[in-house]
Amino acid sequence: MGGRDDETRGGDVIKGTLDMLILKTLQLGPMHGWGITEMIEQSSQNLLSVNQGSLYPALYRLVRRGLVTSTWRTTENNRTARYYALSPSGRKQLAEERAGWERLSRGVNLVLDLS
Amino acid sequence: MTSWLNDLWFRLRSTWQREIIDREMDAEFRFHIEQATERNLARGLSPEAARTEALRTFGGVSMHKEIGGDEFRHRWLEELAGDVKYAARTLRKNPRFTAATVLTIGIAIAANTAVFSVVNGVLLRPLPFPESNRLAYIGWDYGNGNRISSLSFFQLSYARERSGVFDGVMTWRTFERPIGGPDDFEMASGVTVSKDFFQVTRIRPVLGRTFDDAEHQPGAADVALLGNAFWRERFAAREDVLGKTLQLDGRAYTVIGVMPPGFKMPNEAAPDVLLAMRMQINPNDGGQNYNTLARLRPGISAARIDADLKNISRQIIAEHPDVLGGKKSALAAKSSAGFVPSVPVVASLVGRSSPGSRFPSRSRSILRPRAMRDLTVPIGTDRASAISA
Repeated sequence: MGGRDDETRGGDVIKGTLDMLILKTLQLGPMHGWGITEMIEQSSQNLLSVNQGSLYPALYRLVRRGLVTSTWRTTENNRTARYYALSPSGRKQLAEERAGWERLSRGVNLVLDLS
Repeated sequence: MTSWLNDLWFRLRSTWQREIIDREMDAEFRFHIEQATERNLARGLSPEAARTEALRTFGGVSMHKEIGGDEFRHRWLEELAGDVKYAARTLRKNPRFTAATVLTIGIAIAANTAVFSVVNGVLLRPLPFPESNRLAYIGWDYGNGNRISSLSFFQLSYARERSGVFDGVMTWRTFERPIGGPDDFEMASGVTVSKDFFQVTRIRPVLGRTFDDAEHQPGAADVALLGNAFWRERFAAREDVLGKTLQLDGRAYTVIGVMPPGFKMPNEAAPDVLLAMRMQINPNDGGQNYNTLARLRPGISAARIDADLKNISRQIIAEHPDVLGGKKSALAAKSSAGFVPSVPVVASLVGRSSPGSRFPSRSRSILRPRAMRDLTVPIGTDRASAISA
């Protein structure tokens, strides 16, 4: 059955980086899925948009890997929502992914800047 | 052995946990959509446009759930290792169940191979269909106890088309989709069902008809069968519902039938809507995501089923070496034997001759205390009512 192609449309977050961005966002504090979406979009000045078809599977995957925990809590507006929080191993993972990303982007930029 | 037990647990528990997962995901997605709607309102959209836009950007709720659900179930699968101790204790207390289960496990270990294998659905839990002792799940055995209890649609289609021992082979997927207009929608729960669904389940609609083969083809007209309760609530049990239109996730479906009261899916969910699954068979589709249920022909021996499945497996390998090349290389690390014949676990292992001689159901031996808390479920009780109690 044709799942949609989530990865490649302009502005959409690339699959591999989404996990890292989620972890980074949760470093600021526990958040629900909607909050994560908003945070990524806002802090990227709307250059990035999170495809919901990737967000929740990514969150569940992170929970499964023990990088993120989830609990149901009440929001400020008295609504119930599932909140995600960074676990200690998630914190470590974030540091690793960040280092990897910086290496990658530096390398790519060096090549692109060839003249 | 552990992974086999895990797999047993997985099957037994995931069905009712699925309801909980689904409910939680519903709540989570609903929350998301509502938040998005509020934001759109704040940006000056009309209420209707705000909601429509929120739904549009969210995409298919059903898809999220299918993907997300798998993720959750995997986690549970890992947790299940801890259940094995409890399983062993329970099995000891229940000699009949132990005998069959140990036999099952023994056979599976003996097989130690990669090919189709049949998991006896009856052993695990009686399915809510007539003659359920002739229903069997089909999975894929990679050898070394490494089994996947579901198939890709490609594998399924082989089992369906080439087998001489099955009366039908089918799969299904659950979904939640908004029903009604963009401003006033409810979530309807439903299933898409593949060809053979009605042959395998032996369920007939009380009104109208089932899907015909053409309706399973891509591009066919959109048609739907309704769950009985849904029909009563939404259409006041009117018989002229046939031919009426149902708006589901922005598409118009023509109602062609109504399911009988009490109809339930293998996971015991009672769907509001049934749709025809449309899938193109793609050998390169490696996703083994489809629970596959088959109806065995009467009077077929275990050896015959085994031979049949072996044969089909060989055909898959012979006709699509490219596809299996990939799988084989993945396999080689695990199984030096490569693809060798399987031993299916057969329904007749657990002859359930009369309704009275039921096998101990999941409610007794399977659910561990932590999950069940103080609930006790007499055999034959509907699980959903026990959980909501």
